[in-house]
Amino acid sequence: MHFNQNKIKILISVLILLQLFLISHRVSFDYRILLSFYKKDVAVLRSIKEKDVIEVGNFLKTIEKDFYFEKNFLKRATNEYEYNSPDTVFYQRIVEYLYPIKLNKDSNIIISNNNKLYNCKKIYKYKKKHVYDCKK
Amino acid sequence: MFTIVKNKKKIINNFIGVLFLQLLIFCNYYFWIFESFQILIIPIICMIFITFFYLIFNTFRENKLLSALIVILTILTLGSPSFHWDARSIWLFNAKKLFYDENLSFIINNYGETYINIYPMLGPALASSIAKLFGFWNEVFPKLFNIILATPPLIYLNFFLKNKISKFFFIFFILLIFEKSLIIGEMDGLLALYFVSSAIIAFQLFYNDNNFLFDKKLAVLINNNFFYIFSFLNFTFLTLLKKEGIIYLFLIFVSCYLSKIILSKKIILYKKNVTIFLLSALSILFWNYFLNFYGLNLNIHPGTALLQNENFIKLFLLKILQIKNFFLISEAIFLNKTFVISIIFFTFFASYFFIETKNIKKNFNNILLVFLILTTLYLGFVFFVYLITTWDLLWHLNTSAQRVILPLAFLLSYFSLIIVQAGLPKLFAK
Repeated sequence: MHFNQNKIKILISVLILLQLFLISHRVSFDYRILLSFYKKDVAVLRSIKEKDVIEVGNFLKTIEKDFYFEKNFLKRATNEYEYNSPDTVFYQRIVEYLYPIKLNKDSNIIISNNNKLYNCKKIYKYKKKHVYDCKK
Repeated sequence: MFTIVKNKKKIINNFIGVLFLQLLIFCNYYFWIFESFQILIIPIICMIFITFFYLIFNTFRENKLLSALIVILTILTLGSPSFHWDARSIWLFNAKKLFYDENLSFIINNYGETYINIYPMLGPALASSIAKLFGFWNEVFPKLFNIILATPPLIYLNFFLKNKISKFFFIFFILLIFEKSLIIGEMDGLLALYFVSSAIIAFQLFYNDNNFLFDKKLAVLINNNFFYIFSFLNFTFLTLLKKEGIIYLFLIFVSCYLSKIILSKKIILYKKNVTIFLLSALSILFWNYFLNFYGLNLNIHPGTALLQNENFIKLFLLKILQIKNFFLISEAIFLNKTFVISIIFFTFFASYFFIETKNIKKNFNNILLVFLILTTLYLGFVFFVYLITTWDLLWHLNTSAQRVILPLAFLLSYFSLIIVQAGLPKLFAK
């Protein structure tokens, strides 16, 4: 018993092509990203996927200060079993996006979902995310 | 005769290229770790790219399909965003921190707390160097480190494929088993690739002139000092990709050593081989020493936390006695898509091999035994880790089973491919 080599080659080639299409779909391949892969801000939104992260992040980039999160927000966001919750995703994405602007417990700049924070002045808002400048 | 000499020359050129590329990556890693010679990082990364392109070009003459695959994977990497969790939050983020800080302070200060800063830095160091070359960080090109690191084992494993059809199958297996894991900036695909190449290298070390992989064309690669350096670099990379790499290296070593003892029925100390394995473990031991020195907690991984518990044996027995856990783990591991695919191919090829081959050559025994012991030990290790997990077992399985089984799935597929092509050239007759 043997298999016809040419038929097998054709079959595998077709399967390889189909698999490549599947992979390109799963990694969200886009030729526009390929043509501008060397640019600084390429594919930021498609990588982070959260518009609020980019908006709040861009604001924090303009003030160039370290930041931190409000206590309850931080508790929810760092719960390892809630790794898909919106707060966790926001926390992780903004920390990654903003580096080298860093998380700092002593920072005056606090991010929260709350509409008001005691002793703090709201300096930016995007949808449900609020940025405060708090007196220490 | 001329063709053999020509092929031999191509293989030697490719082998030297692979060795040189790994040596450069190794130097690049230590330049970042020691926070010294930073001025050399740009020349090093330039040389890495030149060697990488040379290897693609040189491999094209020998195996067009593999070259095409590396080029296509590079295109896919450069044309896709980085949105996968492990890639973004661990590997690429570590690389980003290294790129901006130019030192390991983020590890010493345990930046971000919930982030895993203590993982080995081989991949992130290469990604940081790529960013250095461009002069800035972005969301796309740092992922290229995946392809560069994958190229040496891919080319090495390709050396043992003797006909076109097996090269077709090889590419097919890579795409089917690894899917996107070689291009998204994660380490799991690379770990599986280095696991299999290290297993083959270790097998060559222990059975250097008595195995069916032994080929006159390849003999020149095995019995020389370059092969020992190559072995050392491969094993070191295996340990430096992810924390479980050192366990995998240990399993490979035990499998080869044990098979040698069983087959020869005597215990011999293979000084050279033992030395290579010990030297290869030094880099990760040095890394762990560094973490210990700064008091960083190595126990945060859920797979190891229970080991430190005072009542470990009692807790372990309690977990073992829950039969349900075995079923849950078995279901996640054995009914995993990747594993099922590899088992189908393995069963098909292996059964064909055993039914059709009338005279199984004696020198097949050694690789079969190594493979059997390695598979058993690997599965034992996986079950052990899941049994002692301190996370919720279902949650842990859901988030990691597919990645954990990749090395074994690729080993099964590659192993089935090489035994078939060596034992049954008839199978792929024209």
